Amino acid sequence: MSSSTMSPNEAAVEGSRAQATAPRWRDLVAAEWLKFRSLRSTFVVLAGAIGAAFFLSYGSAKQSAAGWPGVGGWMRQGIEPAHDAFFPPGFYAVMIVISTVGAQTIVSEYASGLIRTTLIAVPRRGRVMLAKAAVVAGALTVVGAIVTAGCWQITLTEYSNRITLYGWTTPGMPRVFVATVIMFPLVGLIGLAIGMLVRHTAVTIFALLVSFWVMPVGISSVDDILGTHIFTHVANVLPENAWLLLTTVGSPNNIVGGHPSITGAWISYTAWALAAIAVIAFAPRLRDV
Amino acid sequence: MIEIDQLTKRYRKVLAVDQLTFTVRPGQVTGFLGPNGSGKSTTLRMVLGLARPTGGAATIGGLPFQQYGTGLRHVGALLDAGDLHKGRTAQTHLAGLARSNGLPRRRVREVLEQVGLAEVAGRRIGGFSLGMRQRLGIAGAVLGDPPVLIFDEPINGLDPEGIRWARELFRGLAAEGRTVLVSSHIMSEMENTADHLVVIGGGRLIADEPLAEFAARATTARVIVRAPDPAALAAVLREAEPAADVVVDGAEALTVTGFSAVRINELAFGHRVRVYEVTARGGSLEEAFMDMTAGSVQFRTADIGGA
Repeated sequence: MSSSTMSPNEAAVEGSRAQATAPRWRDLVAAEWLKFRSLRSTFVVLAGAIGAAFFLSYGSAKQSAAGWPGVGGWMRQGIEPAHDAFFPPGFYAVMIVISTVGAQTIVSEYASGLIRTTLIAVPRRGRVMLAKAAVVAGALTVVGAIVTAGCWQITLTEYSNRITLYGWTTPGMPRVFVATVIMFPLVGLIGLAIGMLVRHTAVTIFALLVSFWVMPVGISSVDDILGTHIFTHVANVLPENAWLLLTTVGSPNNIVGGHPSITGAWISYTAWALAAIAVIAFAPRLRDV
Repeated sequence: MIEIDQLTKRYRKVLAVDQLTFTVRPGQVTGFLGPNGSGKSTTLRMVLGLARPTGGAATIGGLPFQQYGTGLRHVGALLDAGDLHKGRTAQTHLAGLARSNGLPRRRVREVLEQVGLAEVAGRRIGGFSLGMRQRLGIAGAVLGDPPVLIFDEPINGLDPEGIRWARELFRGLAAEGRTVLVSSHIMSEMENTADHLVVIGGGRLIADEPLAEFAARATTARVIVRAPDPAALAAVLREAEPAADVVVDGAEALTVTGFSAVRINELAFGHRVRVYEVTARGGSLEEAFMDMTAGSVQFRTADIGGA
């Protein structure tokens, strides 16, 4: 038992030399990607969300196409093709599901205790969490691209030769595509940030439901009851309302209620993303796990 | 080397760890003992940077653990065998850990073979027994070939063969010059494993000494006496030696500390108190541990059989 296969001093010296080297981003992102893709439930949920989005497009585009002959001349300019492709209330529901995928990557670690194993392996908490955020953002961008392309193709197919005003290259559509694709990683990161703050599955899902459905759909109606404007401003700050404006190809007046400007909408996207990333990077440093 | 200096953790009103100071040296297995709730796990979580100390500091190799970039290469730790996601396979779980530290993929296979889980590497952890999860946790701890290893109650759930295997593994790691800290709330687990013991109770340090010295303390022999009238005998003994500890155990028995069996016999004879049986019980490590920590046990069962 006395023979050494590895000199303790050597090990210690090697240890102190390597201590300053931070873990490589490449390794951390690869590790988080491995964790993300190795859970079957993630794929089931994402497949469900993609399927639901496609089905919603099919339904609303079909309805628009069916009603098209009855739509009179000037009214035809008022149709919002992007809101057929991404029917807003349904799209918000899909966003809730997407945000839970982001939230689950951290909530499941807290719930199972895996977080301790993770942080013993890599004590730099901020880096681990940012690597997680990068994986969530990357994976959900791909999902966003699939949904956006798929939904638009379904919409065009359903419009068929009845509604012929729109195609892949219609002016204004690039903005719709970009805004919609980005919405996926954005809500994923917000979900991750909320999950990190709440750390409890049921409460997290409730919080996401409120922030991605109840708030955008319901909050501005509070103004109607109270006769104020303040809640409309709050609603305008939400990413859904930014998305709603960015995906409006026709006149912005098509949107009922208040709305931010196009610039304001992009600022809203950026601000939410930065806020989420700040929470993800700094919140876990303060907590005992 | 793990150095713990005045380490303190307070949760609102509960003082979980109270100014704990000790050093864990390389080349030997250090047993970290204490009853349930004595603060062992809290201490280890602070050492590993998972919990923030209220006061004091803990360093590994001279540095707070959080300052290490790649933890696995410096410290391997198993805190709780349940600290993993049940939906992943053993192999994927370890591959994620290895990748995060830039360790080669082959290490995963090597450690799975080392802990005897190679055949179930592709199975989901959800179907693993506690013993298998302990082995998987140990595999994760040795993954980065670290100079310092920390195991919190690693024996729980292992079968006798597994216990012997784990014991030999810990001794082997220490023999290679590594620092090995193994916690337990059962003294007998440490008897054949540890070279050095750190004992805590109620968050405070009770003992920090070589196992041999600790064992030497275990001579607080007790004498069990069976007598038809234990109260009468107790009165005689207490009169003879007021400092002695005499406890009436039920209707016919006494437990006496501080008297030899011979002295008890003589006193009983001299006072004409009838005695059926006088048995000397040599102290064991387990008993020394129980005696030392008796004052600090947090979850004591109700005393049965009167005092």
